[in-house]
Amino acid sequence: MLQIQHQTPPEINRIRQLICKAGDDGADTFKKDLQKIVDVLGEYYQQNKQDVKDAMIQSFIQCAKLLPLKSGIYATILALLSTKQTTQSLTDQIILGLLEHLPQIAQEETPILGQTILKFLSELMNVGLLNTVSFVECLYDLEGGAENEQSPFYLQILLTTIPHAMIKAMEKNQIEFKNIIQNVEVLMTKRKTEDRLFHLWQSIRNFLNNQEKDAHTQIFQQFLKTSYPRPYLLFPDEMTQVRQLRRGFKIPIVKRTQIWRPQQILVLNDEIRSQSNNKTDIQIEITRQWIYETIDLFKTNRQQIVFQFQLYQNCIKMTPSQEAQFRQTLIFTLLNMVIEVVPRKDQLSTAFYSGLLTHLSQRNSDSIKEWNETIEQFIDLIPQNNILIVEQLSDCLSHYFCNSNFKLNWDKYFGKYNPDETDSFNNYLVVMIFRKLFLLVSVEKITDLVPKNIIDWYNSLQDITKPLDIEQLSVAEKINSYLQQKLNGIEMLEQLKLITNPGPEVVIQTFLESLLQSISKSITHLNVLSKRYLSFLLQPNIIKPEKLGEILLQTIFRMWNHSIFHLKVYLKEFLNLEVISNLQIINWVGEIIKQKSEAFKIYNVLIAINDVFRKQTKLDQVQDCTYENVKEINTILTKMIEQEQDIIIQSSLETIQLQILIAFKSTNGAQSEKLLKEVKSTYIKQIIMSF
Amino acid sequence: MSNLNAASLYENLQQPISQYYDKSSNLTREEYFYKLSISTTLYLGNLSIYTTEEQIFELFNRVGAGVRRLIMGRNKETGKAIGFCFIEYFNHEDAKEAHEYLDLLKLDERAIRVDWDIGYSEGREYGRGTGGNQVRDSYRKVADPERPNVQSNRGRGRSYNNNGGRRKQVDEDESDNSGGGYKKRAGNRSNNNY
Repeated sequence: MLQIQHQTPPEINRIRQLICKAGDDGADTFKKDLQKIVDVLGEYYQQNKQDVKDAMIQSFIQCAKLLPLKSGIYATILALLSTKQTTQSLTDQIILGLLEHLPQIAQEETPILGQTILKFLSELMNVGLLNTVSFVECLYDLEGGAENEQSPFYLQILLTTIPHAMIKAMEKNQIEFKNIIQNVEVLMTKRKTEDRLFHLWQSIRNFLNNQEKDAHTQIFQQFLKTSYPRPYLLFPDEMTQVRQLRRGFKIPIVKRTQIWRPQQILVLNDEIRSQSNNKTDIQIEITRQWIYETIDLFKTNRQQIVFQFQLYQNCIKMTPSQEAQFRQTLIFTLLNMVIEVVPRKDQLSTAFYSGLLTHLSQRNSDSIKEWNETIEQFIDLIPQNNILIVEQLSDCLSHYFCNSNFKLNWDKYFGKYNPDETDSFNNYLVVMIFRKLFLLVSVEKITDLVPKNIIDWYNSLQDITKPLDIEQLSVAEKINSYLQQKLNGIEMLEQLKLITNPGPEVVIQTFLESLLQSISKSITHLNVLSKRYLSFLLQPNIIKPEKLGEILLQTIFRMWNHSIFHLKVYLKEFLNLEVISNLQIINWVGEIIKQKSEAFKIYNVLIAINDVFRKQTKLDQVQDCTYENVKEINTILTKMIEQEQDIIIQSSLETIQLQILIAFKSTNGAQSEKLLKEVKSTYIKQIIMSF
Repeated sequence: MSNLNAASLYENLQQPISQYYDKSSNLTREEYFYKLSISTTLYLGNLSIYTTEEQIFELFNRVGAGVRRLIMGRNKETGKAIGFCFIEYFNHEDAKEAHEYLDLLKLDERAIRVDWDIGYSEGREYGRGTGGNQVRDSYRKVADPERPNVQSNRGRGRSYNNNGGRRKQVDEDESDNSGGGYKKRAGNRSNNNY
C-alpha cells in the first residue's frame, strides 16, 4: 500500500499524490493537468534514483488496480510517457509489473481485481501500448475459463471488459473478436439467470447487433468523444507516436472451487426496460458496473465513496438527461442491492445503504425532489413475492427519510394503502415503512410535517411498543408483585409452586407473560431479567426444556405478533440463553402457518426468524448445530415449502432454509458436504457453496 | 469479500489527523490507540434524553451481526438517561461500518455523534457533570429542551482548579467517556432497578 511515513522522501510522497489524484481537479483543465503530470514524472524519472522509480511503478500499478474510473487517465499518462525516449522504459516497466499481477486474479474471492486490471489493459490497448492481438488472446483465455467454471467468475471479468475494449477490438481484430462474442452468446444462452451479467450482456449484444441504427450511432459517437474516461482523444498527434509493448501475455486460468454469484437486479431502470426486445443502453450498463466496483473498492470509507461519486458527477460532463439517467442508475443500483434478500457473502447492511444514500443526496440537495421521485419509481416496481424485500427496503428508506427532512411524498406512499385489502403486499409495505419511520423519530416531534390523516391512521394501528394483554389477570397480579420484590430464581419458583389454581403449565405461561411485560420496558430489563429467571427455569425438575421453549414461543407470539422489533430481540436473546432452539423455532412457525394466523402476523414472524438466523450466520454461532438437527430442520422446511401455496410465505421460508444451511456450512464444513448431497435444488447448492 | 481497499490509497496520502488521546485512561498513547484500532465499542453522543433504547437499538442493530450490548448513559443520582450511550458490536468490522455510515446522521431528529471508544467498563455510564449529567450540559449557553436542564456555571466564567489557575474548557470527550478514568468508590449504588 502507498504509505506516507516520516522517513519517506518528499519527492516520493509527491509522486504518489500526483498519480493518485490525477484527474481529481475535473475535466476543464484536463489536457494541461495530464501534460503537467507527464512532465513532472519525466523529470523525476530522469533523476535516476531507484527508490523514486520504484515508487512511480508501484503507484501506477496500485492506482490502476484500485481506481477503475481513472483507467483511461493512467493509460493516457503512460502513453504520453512512452512517446518520450527518456521515459519509454518507465512505461514498459509499469506494464510488465502490472502483468505480473495477472495470476493473482484467480486467487481472489471476487472478480473485482480481474475487472479492474482487465479494464486498464483494455485502455492500454486503446492508447496503443498493448497489441490488439495479444489483448484479444487474453479475452479468449477468459472465455475458456468461463466455459469450464461452474460459476461466472471469469465470465463476469470478460463481460465487464468487453464494453471498454470492443471499439478498438472491432476496428483492429474484428474476426477474432466476433468469434469471442459468438462463444459468449452460447454461454449466456445456457445461463438462465437474470442477474447483472444478463443485463450487461443484453446491452453489449444490442449495441453490436444494431450498428446500422441511429440510436446505436448516437451511443457509438459517445465513445469517440474526448471525455474523462477517454482523455487520450485529447492527444491525437501524440497517440500516433505511442510505442507499443512487444510482448504477449496470458491470464492464467485456474479452476476455482469457490462459487461466485453476481448481484441480482430485481428492478430495472425505466429507460432500459422495454416491452419488446430488451434494448438497453450500453452506457447505462457501463455506469452500473462502475457503481458496483466503486462500492466494492471504497466501502470501508464513507467519505471516499461519496467523493468518488462526486468526482464522477463533476468530471464527466453530462447533459441534463444524462444526469437524470445517472441519478436513476445510481439509486436503482443501490436499492437493488438493498432488496437482494437471497443471502450473499459480501452483503452490506441496510445501514450502509441508507447512510450512503443520505450522504449522496445531501450533496445533490438541489435535485432532492428528483432523488425522491426516483426512489418512488423504484418502489412502484419492486417484485411483490417476498416480504423480506419489504423489511430491507423499509429499514433503508425509514432512515433515509429521517435524514432528508421528511421530504417524501406522503400522499404517494400512503396512497398505496388500501383499507379494503387487509392482507395485501402493498398494505404491509406501507405499514412497515411508517412503523420504522416513527420508531426512529417519534411522530409527536414531526406533527407539522406529517399529514393529519396519516397520523390518525398510524395511531389507530396496534401500538408496537405495548404487548397484548395477559390472560390470567389475577395470577399475573401476584407474579408482578413477586417481580417487583426482585425475588431471585429460587424464591420465585417457591412462590409459583404455591399457586395451585390454575395448573402448572398455565402458571408458567402467565409467569412468562408477566416476565415479558417487565422485560419489554427496555433492552436492559430484557438482559437482566431474562438471565435471572429464564436460565433458572432450565434447571432440572422445573419444566422440561422442550416444554419451556414451546410455551415461550407461543407466549412471544401471543403478546408480540404485531412487533417485529420485539420478536427479533426476544428470539435472539432466548436462543443465546438456550431456552429455545432453532428446531423449535421452525416447528413453531409451521404451527402458526398451519393455524392460518393473520398474514401480517406470519410475515412478522418470518422476518424476525430470517434476521436472527442471518445474524447467527455472520457470527458463525449457530445453536445446536449438529448434523442431525440441521438435517431435521432442513427436512421440515423443505416439506413446508413444497406444501405452501402462498408464494410470499414460500419465498421467505426458502430464504430461512438458506440461512440455516449456510450457517451450518460455516460452522461445520466437513459435514456440510454430506448435507448438501441431500439438497435437491442446484440453485440452493450454488448459493450455499458461494459462502 | 473483496480485500481490495481503494480508500486506503487516499487515506495514506492525507496528513494523519491528530487524534484525541485521553490521558486519564491510564493507558500509554500506543496502548490507547491500539485499543481504538481494534475496538468493538462506539460512543454515541448528542442524543435526546427522550430517545429510547429501542430507537437506538433499532437503528444500530441493522449493521452486520447486530448489537451485542447497549449501555445507556445515566444520571447516577436520578437514574435517568442523559443523552449518550455505548454500543458494543461483536467485531471491529461491524463497529467500523456503523461508525462510517451512521455518524452525524439523525436519530429522533438529532444529529448523533458516533465516536470510537476503547471499551465500556463499569461506572463509565454515569455522567460527571453538574448534578450527575454530562459536563457539556453544564457549559451550554443556550437551553436545549432535549438535553438535561442543568444549572450551570454560565455567567461565572471558566472554572478553576484547586491550584487557583485556569482550567481549560473541558471537551465532552475528556470528561464523559474517557477510558477507565472513573474511579470506583466504595458503596456505589448498584445498577438495580429491575
